[in-house]
Amino acid sequence: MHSGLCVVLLFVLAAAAPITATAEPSVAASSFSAAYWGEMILHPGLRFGWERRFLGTERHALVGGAVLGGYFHFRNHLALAVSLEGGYRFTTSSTFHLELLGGLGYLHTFVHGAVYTPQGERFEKVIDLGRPHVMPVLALGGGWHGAGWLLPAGRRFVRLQFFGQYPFDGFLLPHLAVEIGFAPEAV
Amino acid sequence: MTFCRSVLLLLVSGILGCAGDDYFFLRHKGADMPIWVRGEPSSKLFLLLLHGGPGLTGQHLQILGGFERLERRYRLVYWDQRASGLSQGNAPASSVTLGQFVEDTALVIGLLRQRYDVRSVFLLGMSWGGAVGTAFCADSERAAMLDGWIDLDGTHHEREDLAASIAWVKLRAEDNITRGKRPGRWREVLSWYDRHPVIDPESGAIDDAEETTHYIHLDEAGAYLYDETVKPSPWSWKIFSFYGLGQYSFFAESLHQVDVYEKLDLDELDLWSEVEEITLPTLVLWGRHDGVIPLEQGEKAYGLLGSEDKSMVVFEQSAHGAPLEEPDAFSGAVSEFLETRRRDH
Repeated sequence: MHSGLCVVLLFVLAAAAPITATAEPSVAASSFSAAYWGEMILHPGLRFGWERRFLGTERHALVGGAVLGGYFHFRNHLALAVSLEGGYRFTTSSTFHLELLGGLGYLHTFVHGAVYTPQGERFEKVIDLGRPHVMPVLALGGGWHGAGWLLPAGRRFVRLQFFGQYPFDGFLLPHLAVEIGFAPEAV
Repeated sequence: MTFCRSVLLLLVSGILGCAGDDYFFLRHKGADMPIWVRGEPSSKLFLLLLHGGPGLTGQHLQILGGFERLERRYRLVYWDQRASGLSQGNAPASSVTLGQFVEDTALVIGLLRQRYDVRSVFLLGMSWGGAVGTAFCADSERAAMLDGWIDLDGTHHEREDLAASIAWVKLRAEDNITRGKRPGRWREVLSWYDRHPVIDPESGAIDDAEETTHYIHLDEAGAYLYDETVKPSPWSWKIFSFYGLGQYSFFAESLHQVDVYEKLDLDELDLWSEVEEITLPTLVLWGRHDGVIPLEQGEKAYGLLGSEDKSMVVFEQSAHGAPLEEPDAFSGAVSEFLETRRRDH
């Protein structure tokens, strides 16, 4: 929880800082990224990703990679996720970019609270080993290339994301999330 | 490390306004059902709430003034039924039955008795919870787990309740036309019912799509709230800490409502014979202006109750939400019933 808030603060400060936009965005062929991952915006988490440009140019790129992350929804659940995601990124000459990403992953959730289960006449407190889920992901985002006070030069991004949790009582439970992160310039 | 974790949890709990309460889960037959115990920690009287819907969460009830007042004196237990509200897991469709909800209720009471020094347990069911509570209390063995039963605007017979609510909307529509309140709109509503009976007059089958439209009309006619201005401000910290920062999940509650309603198939729900079998001390509470399950249905339930110790209170300024609309009268009526029927004196 505490670390999540620190990361939020970090990104808010970085986003508010004066940006030094570079004339020619140097989008590396492969890059790492770190982001605040907020389920329903306010339930804090972190995501770390690696991506590679597979096709296209720096202006029109098809990218793909892997992402690892988790978030905490107080008194509801703790989630850990790993996914393969890819999509299209359009970068303008003025360093701004728009992107549409999709993917598929694995989500493991643990309920947040003690779990009791009936054993004959009594109830036993059990260790929650969590539940497995398939996680489809769809995200629409944008950002810019620049340098701020606290972060090195690189790509900053904000994404609105929908991801699913299946099965959940027999159906696909959608989640809305926001990702606010950055990918440093050089690998 | 343990100390740091405790301090952190205390801090988070304090920020979210939930210090001193308990939150845990009952895992049974594929479902992880959250149980939130709030209220006066020294009280050995537990009031277990059966929420409405089916499919809604019961945890938002702690925001309502009537329950806030009761928490000052008693332990209130907000439990979400399987495949409902904020419950999690993967409950099989075959387990989403009234019988299973009743079994789960008994387990929740058993778990409370194991975790706490419980002297008295009362059950309060509202709307759909009235059906779960009625089915629970009709069995004498299960009823022995309780000190009393409170039926708040409860449903007992799907078709009859629906027919009564349709009649209520039509009456309200005619009244609005007479008073000149959006007469065009209410003529349109009356005309819709002429073409869409909702309940087939010959087969008795309920048309789900028409029933959905009927619920829209109910809302428009003020069937849920007699006075819309009593709605709590969405900007209060208590609401933000529950809906924004707390355990609430919009998508889970919304989809559970649709899903559980389909799985339960309530068209044949008829609990009048179960009402007759209830012998527990019973308090029936109803809103005078309830259009969802109109007052005559409550009066019928009260008349059929098998209990010799029964009473009924009608809230004159309420529709389907007395704990919100008349919190003092509601908590007063419930407190009086609890104090005179509790067995732990």
